[in-house]
Amino acid sequence: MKTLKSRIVAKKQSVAEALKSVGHSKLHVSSWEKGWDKGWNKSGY
Amino acid sequence: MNNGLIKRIVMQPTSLCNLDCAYCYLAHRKENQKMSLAVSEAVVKSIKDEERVAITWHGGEPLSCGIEHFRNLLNPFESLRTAGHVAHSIQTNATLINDEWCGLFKDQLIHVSISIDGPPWANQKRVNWGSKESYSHTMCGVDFLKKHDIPFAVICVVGEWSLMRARELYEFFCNLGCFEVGFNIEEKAGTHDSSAPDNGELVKKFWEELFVIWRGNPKISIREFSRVLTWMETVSESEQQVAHHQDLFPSVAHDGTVVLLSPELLDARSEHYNNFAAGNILRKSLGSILVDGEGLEYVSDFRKGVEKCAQVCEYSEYCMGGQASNKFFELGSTNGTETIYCRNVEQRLIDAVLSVV
Repeated sequence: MKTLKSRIVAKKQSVAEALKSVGHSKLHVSSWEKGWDKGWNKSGY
Repeated sequence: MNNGLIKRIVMQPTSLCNLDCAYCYLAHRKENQKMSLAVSEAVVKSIKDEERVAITWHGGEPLSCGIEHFRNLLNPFESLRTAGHVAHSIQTNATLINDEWCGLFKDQLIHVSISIDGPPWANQKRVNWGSKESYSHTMCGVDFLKKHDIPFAVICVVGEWSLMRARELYEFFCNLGCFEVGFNIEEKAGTHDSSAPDNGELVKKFWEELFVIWRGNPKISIREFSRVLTWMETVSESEQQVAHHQDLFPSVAHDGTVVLLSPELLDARSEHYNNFAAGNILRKSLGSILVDGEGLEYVSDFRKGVEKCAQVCEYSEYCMGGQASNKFFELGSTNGTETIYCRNVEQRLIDAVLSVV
């Protein structure tokens, strides 16, 4: 049975393309650096 | 400057809400208990040496405390805000927004997030105390935000009434004018203990359909997809496990009571956990409350649960061990592992994205 990590690694290229196509890469990091969570966000991202 | 012990605080300016949403977890939302200025001042005193703190004004409905009172609560923060050490955000149902509120949002650079569940057919759980719809009032608030060019995000609760209609929801939010939407699957929490969808296929299909539609037209950001894709990118590039540690995330109630880990615990009752009270900001600094907080039983229970999650659940690297409030409300203890919340917004989200990305 595949692990979650191996499933993600298998989709590495597709994930990168998806991030590129929607233009929101690292969005959660930048939003936290701006000190704002767009409505509190349980996971702290 | 301090060591970053305090990064984010939820503040409850009032327990009152002018709406009576069917899925609300707050027991005392009909009571108008306003935060005193002394509480606000005590919070400011506690964070004056911090580098950067995000303050989220939540409720109740924060605007229902009245604009003059809210302005008074903000005043003690002003020197920290203008120096760049504090940023405010507010979560509101938008029904009370007018020109005056918009002026305050702009003056104090308050980031606005509104709560709306979609078009009228999807918004029927959001009613006032007379069981009348709130949609038209929320849309009036949205019109004021647009008139003043104030960007806003949205939190949308999704339940069985809308899980099969992802496309309609997404198109609605694209047309609403928000820059981002976060989708919260209905939860069993607080006074709302009757239902939470736990149909794996239905929820996974919702995330799949939403992802495909969004990917084809990424006009607005979707909080969950930004978050999960970024995490996946990090995981796929990392040889080792990505380490996370949940901070104690203090929430300050109207009377100065501080609860840790989950804002939903502000109004929760548990004799075993002393109603989750970690202290009162009027009598003890927030820094001291956080340091001592690790010794509280519900916090240590939560840490034990997180450790168990790490041992038994491969999704825990993403969720960092779940949420204290969901564990308590669903399992009766913060020392638990998997919840419906975990399955809906962590596991099924990840599975859905991996199946269609």
